[in-house]
Amino acid sequence: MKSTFAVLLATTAVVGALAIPTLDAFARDTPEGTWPAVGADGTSGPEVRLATRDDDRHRDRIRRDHHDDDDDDDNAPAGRGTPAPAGTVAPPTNGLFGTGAPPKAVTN
Amino acid sequence: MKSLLATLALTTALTLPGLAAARPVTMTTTLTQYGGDGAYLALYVTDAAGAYVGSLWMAGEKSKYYEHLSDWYRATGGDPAEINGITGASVGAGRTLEITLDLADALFDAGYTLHIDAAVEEMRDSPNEIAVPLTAAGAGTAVPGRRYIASFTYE
Repeated sequence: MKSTFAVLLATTAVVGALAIPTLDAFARDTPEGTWPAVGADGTSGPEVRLATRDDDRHRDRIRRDHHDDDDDDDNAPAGRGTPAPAGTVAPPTNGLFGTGAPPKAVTN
Repeated sequence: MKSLLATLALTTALTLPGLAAARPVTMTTTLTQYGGDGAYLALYVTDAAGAYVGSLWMAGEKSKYYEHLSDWYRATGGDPAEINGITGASVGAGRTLEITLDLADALFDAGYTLHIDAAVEEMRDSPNEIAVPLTAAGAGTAVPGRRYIASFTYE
């Protein structure tokens, strides 16, 4: 009976010793969106960043910024605008075009 | 009354040839599988002396890339007025652009040459990729390009 108690006490002590560093790591302040990693030896390792809503917002901003880059025409030479798309105005009067059907383009 | 009829006859005589002096021409450009983004293409015409006459089509809508169509850009300064109403989307690799234009008959067999400049983002520019004399006999004959254009025909 005595030996049983001794074994029980020893295992409780070992489990408790292992748990203390882990609980300590949880208790420490960590930046939002990170999770403390604990090594096998009980010491804390590098922080692991988890996907959060903030990350999604960040990605959305990057995508939106990229989209804006694509759409702008800021790098166009000074004084130059965007030409009118086909079908919105008549072709230029450069003597090459007749007065018949408007230009038509199809991409296959 | 007589003078009115004479005026009417004269204006009709002058107008009819003008109406008949143009015809629909279909230009077909097929691109190679060059493995890049959509190609910008400038189709334009020079006269027998090599002077720029005018543009027929611009594939690609962002003017900031036009300087890469270097021969066309040198001739026009990138002026959007040159391509108002004849501008469409860029053309993807391996795809075919088919344009139908109402072109003046006077363009054919008169020493004019049709040129195509091509450019693809982050790839080499290809000015004068196609240079083909506009002749009635040349209609329907496929012409190969140098880099991005597999073939070009007009008919």
